[in-house]
Amino acid sequence: MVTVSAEPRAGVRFAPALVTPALAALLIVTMLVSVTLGRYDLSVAQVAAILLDNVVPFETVTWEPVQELVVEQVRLPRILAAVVIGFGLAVSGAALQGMFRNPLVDPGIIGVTSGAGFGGTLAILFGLTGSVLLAIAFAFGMGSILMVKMLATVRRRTSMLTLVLAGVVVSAFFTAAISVAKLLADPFQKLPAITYWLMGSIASSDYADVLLISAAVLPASLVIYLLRFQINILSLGEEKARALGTPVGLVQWMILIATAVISAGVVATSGIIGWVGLVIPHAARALVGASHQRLLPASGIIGAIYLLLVDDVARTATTSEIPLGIITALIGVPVFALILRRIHAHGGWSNY
Amino acid sequence: MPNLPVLTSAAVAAALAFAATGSQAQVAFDDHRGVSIAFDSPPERVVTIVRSAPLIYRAIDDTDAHIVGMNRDSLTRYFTSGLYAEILPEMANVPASAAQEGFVPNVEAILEQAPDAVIQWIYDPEIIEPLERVGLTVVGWDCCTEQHRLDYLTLTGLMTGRTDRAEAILSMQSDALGDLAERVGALDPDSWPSVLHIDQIGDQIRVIANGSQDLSLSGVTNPAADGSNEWWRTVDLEQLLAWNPDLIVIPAYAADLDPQAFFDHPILSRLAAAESGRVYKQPFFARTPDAPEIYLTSIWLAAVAHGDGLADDFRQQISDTYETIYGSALTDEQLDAALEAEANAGSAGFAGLFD
Repeated sequence: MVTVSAEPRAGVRFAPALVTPALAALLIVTMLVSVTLGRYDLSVAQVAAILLDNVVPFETVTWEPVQELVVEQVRLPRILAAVVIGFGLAVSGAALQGMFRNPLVDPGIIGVTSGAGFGGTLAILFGLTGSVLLAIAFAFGMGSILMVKMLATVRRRTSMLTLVLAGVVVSAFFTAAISVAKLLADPFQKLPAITYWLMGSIASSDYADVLLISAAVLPASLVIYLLRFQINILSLGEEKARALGTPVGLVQWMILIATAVISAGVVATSGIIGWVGLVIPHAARALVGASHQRLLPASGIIGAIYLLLVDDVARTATTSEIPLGIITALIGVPVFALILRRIHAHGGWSNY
Repeated sequence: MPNLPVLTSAAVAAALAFAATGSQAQVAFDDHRGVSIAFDSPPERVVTIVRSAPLIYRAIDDTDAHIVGMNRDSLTRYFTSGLYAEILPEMANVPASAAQEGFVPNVEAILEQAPDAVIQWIYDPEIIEPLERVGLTVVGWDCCTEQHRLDYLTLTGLMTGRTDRAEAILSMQSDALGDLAERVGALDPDSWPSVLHIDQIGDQIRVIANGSQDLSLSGVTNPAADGSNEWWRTVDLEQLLAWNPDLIVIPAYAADLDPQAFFDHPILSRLAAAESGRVYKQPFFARTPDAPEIYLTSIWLAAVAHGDGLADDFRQQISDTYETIYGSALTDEQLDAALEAEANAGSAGFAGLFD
């Protein structure tokens, strides 16, 4: 059992002000390295030339059109999608962990992931793809947060415990509904498509997908960042927050809706990618401390780097595309176990 | 349950001899489990859970009179629309409640039909045991090698007492494929084009990596094949560009996909196959790999890969094949539908090959 400590914990190892710029630089380096990786045989020099050509047009082109296509239309949109998704999932995880004062919370706890997952499953079951699938998945994701709100609100008051329980209930309902849909699906075409989609992939991402994901993730992340001081106050406890004049209910719902928009957007475009929102905020917390002013950007950037590296493995390890959810789970479980042990060894989770 | 050796010609001969020696059992054979099956006479009432078994049984038995039940998936996949529904309309009237989900038997519905035999897959004893527990005779079929598929015809010939039809269809297959092998053998193997079978290009791109079709019969190679048991493989756009196949074939079961989708795709249209217009929708006779006419697919693929010298008078051959197997010669419209002429209208050389 993880204990939640209200005691300040001294000793952040790195100078917090330097961590975020350093992480941002690392993200750019990771993106540049990632664009040189892939199944199509391209040298680093060729990739560099193709990229530079966009900034300083070359007089003589030394590469094939298909090579330019691979770099600019296949790898780059995928890299951008990984960055935006990793950023969004980690930011929403950090915000929810702060708001719930619980290190075990991730975006899946509020039921949005399962709701959006069911929407996508339903779309595939009925042979709908592309923007229709995306719209249905997003609608079900947002619908699930409304269900959670309805279930958790009694006499116009919402307790955090009831909210989490309502999230668990809604999540269980949609998980069961996904099972029913899989049972009904054609085992040769639709069932594998549903199974694969649910495990998360950005293999077919293009710039339109990146725009759509960004339209969900970036404004919602901005809202969360604007509420960073309120999240700090909420992480002290509801009573203290009320005593300090924070409109607790309003802030809680704004954060919930912002995280729901991120989760629904991510699931709709890329399927269910778990563990990023749970694990990454802990790593960021170890680097920059518990203040959400620094924790949110640091989480977002580490999440972006992490998912980018995971996607590099997914697209280069074998000729088969490995679903991202599998890799994030395989890495996330042992890493999270280690983090839990460290938290326990240091006397519990810190809100400071 | 481990797979037992496939039915050999020796075993078939022994079974036939057994049937001819005046034993009380007039129909006797070993199924793919090695279980001895015996009937006094060919079963009058047969329920099939194997999806393609109604087609095979109808083809060999030359009547629908003895099929009294099938899998719902068989009905919706084959007999409610399309070519089989047109040439075998009576099959739509067969009760289709033999299996609930997949191949799990609906025992009560099957008992209601009072069958003499049930044809079921053997990959999982759990889907056979409930049938045998209530005293039903189960004929087990293994899946999915080429030999297994030949055995389906042989076993059904023994079961229906129509070994003459089974042998006729089998020899029609082997003659046609022997002729194809001779023609393909004259080609330089270094000139064999690469072919990818792609059945999805939406959110996921899925290729057939190690299917059961012997592509060497058609003189083509599959860059995705690696000898593993992985039938399908989901890949990304970059892997497709790296393979860059000479031909792309869209499997017949991929109902929502046609060549135009490749020609219109911003990235897939840059593949060599798409740029040269060599993306083809597989004909109807590849709708199920278990159907007795599946061998036509090898001839068709050889023709689109190497030109019409590999498939002389193919339309007539298709029509003759359907007449032999299902007792129904195809009209010109049905031949066009079987060849997916509409979907393939924009594909390179298609009209000239199969006019």
